[in-house]
Amino acid sequence: MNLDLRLDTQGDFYSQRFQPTEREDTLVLNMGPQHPSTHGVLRILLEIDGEYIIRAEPVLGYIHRMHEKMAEVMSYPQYLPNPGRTDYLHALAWNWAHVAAVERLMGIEVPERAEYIRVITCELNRISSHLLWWGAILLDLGAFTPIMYAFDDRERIQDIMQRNTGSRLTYCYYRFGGVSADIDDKFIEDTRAECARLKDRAKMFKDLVTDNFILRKRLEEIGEIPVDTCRKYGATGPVLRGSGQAYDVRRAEPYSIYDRFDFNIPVYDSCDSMGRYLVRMDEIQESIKIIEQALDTLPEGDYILPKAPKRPKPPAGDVYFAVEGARGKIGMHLVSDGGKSPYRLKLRAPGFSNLSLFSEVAQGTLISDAIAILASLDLVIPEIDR
Amino acid sequence: MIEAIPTQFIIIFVGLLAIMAFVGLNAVVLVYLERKVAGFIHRRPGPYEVGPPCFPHGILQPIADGLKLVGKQIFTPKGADSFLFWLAPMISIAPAIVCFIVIPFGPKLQIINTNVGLILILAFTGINVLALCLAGWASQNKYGLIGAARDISQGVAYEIPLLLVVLSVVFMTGTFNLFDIADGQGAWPWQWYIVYQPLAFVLFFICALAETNRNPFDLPEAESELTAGFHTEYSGMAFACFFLAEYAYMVVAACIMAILFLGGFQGPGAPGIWWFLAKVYVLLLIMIWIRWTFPRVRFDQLLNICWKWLIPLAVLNLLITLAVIAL
Amino acid sequence: MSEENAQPEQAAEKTKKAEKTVGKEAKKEEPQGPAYTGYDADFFLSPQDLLDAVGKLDQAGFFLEDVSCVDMQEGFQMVYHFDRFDQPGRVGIRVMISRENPEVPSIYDIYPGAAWHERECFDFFGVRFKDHPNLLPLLLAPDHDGPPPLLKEESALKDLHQIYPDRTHTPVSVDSQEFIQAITNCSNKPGRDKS
Repeated sequence: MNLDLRLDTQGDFYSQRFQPTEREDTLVLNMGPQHPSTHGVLRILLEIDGEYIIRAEPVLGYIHRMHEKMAEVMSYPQYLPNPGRTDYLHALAWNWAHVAAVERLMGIEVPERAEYIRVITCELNRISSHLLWWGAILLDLGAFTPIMYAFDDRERIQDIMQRNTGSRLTYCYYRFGGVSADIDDKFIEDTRAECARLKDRAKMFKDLVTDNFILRKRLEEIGEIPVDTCRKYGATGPVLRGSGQAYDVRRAEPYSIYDRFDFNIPVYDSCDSMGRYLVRMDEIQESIKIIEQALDTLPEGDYILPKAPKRPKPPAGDVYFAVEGARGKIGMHLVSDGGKSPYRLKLRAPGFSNLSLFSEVAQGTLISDAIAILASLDLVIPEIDR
Repeated sequence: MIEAIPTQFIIIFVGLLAIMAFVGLNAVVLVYLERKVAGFIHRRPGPYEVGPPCFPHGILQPIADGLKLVGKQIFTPKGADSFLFWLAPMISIAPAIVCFIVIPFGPKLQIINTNVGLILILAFTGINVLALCLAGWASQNKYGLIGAARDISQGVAYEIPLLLVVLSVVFMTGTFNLFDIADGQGAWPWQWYIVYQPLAFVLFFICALAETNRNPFDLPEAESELTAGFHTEYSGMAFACFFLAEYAYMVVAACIMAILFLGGFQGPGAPGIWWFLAKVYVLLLIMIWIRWTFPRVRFDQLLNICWKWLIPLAVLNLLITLAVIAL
Repeated sequence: MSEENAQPEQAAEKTKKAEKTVGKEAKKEEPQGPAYTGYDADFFLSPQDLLDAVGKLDQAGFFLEDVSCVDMQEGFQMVYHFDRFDQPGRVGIRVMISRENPEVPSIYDIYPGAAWHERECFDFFGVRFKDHPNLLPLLLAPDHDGPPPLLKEESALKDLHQIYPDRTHTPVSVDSQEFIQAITNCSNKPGRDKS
């Protein structure tokens, strides 16, 4: 049989440029874009020696949709649904970043109540995103059951959100100057019940999964990312906090009303996959704390600015707005020329920066570990490819 | 003409047919059981909708699964060695069926009662490693190749503690005859060998999980790492053969455990096949339960468990057994 | 904005800019500061100063947020965003490069994370990065032919004065006191809170 697995002479553009070099006994493995653990359509070229990874190079672009070009040809309100389509798991954070960048440029003051509603819904969305990640990382580690438990809770959050946002996944709820619909008593009641339930479930999650011996062995001391590597690659979010740096945009550059709430920034300085895992598990609880405080102090008032512009035309200028998404720092760099659509809109995707350090971290690990590291980075490919 | 054929052959032939029916039926039951138990653990109903209302709870689901597999196109991947590629599923399923010949299902229900029954089973189950290796190698697929490499090192490594554990039971009973081993145990649980050899039972159970490639040791087909490992390129009935073989080996492992440690067909009241099947199914349920609860171990951890823990413990167990017998 | 006359005008510009910011804060009509623009410090630099400036930011402990580009009449405006973990403050570095020869030094050696951002700019604008390790298409298909997607038509291009009506676009020097000051204590500036 003609088993020449080393050289991929018929490969495509990228695999032809990723040939094994000096060593004779290595294998080039093309993982993805259709692979169970690459969470969508990420493709990774691996040069492996047995099961040890010598080189790893992610190949992107399989779900690239050119959201930045769309922004330039659509008016501001037309573009509202787009940011939520990038990171579909934490759509509201992207929605928020877009809306807030425009508000910042136009100097729109959002009503109190709208700010509270934004915080509550965004944090609920963060919890649902982390729950899905929790199921997914365990799926990658070979445990199938936890994702079902995670979906059980996630489903309830989606039911709550569906009532006032009108959608279950790619939310487009925030408007320039507020939100599109007010929340009612049923929403508040359900949210409180869900918060109580999630606190209760945390113990089960810990006993069943977090304390599991095999899980700990699979995550501890695997994929160590020193904080300086995070800095060089611009990694943010739980990846950075799992490396011992307490950096959270909600604290560092407080936007909206986050400075009014009392919450901790979970930090673990083990730098490994377990650190990132624990950060996210703790963040679910911190988000619950924020939601409960926000519900306690929810003021009456308008949910959207009465004079909010329906078709905004921000003045010429250049603003940057950062939001803490479930995966890290979401940035919107908006350049306006005073027209009805942006002159240039740059989306900073946290997953993009987080993934870019993968090739450095994956070197010398086993394939199984590389899967665990990928999962611990919490990738959403549409967000990376935009 | 009939008289010319030795009765032994007729018994084996009829027995093999019966075993094939048993293996097939067992697979149907196990598929349903696995899916229902998984559903129970996941807090969902599991298969529910297949068939008319007179078949509630989706009990036709395994039939539908089987029909789907039979109906699927089978093809050889480009560049694969087609002879080895198609040989592998057959090598995988055939020894599994032969293993059942020597298993005493009941006091009077055994096809061949031979003195080397245990050796025969251990020898035939070893062939499965070869089958999976060929499957992974011949399919000209890198995931398959890695899966095959994993399977060989895992299969070879776990065979050692398995044999050592079996040896301690054999020293205790002084026979390789499965019927005699089962018959030597009493009806009540405190008369079973699990009481004398608890460590051996635990070791055997772990090794059995690894040998049958069940979670948390399902490394050769780790779907989140190697898509499907050695059977990545197989479809339709070829895949079904591996699938059937996996379940058949699970049943074989459970049968041996039931015979060696749990008294086989012995039980309070009348001994019989019902006791045997009940024990086998309890063991299978535990295997399914473990599968849906634990994450997968990593490959080096898997081998470390074997070489650093299981083999020393198995040797220790053997030495203690020998010492007790000598005294 | 030509780069040649940047140095002589440096001193004059500096005082002018200082006056201007003071004037703005006093007037309060067009407020500056991070709560209004998201930037704590924002500089135009000349392309040959870029590596020097980024090196200084690296030493000061900044992390790379992103690298992007804006297509303008004067050429491509490369925008580098940096921020800090311990003491937040966003610094924007802007570099104008010509449309005819869009080339800028790669900051890959200082911030390896810039490699992908630069490849993205190469995809979207056709900007080339000197000494980039593998300047291959990242998000677009390798066989994409046609102009880079984010280039604007000639008629749609705006110049710097239309986008930044009340700012100077003269490159500052990396060694100037203004720049050093800004990157050492940018977040101590007033204006972080709206209240």
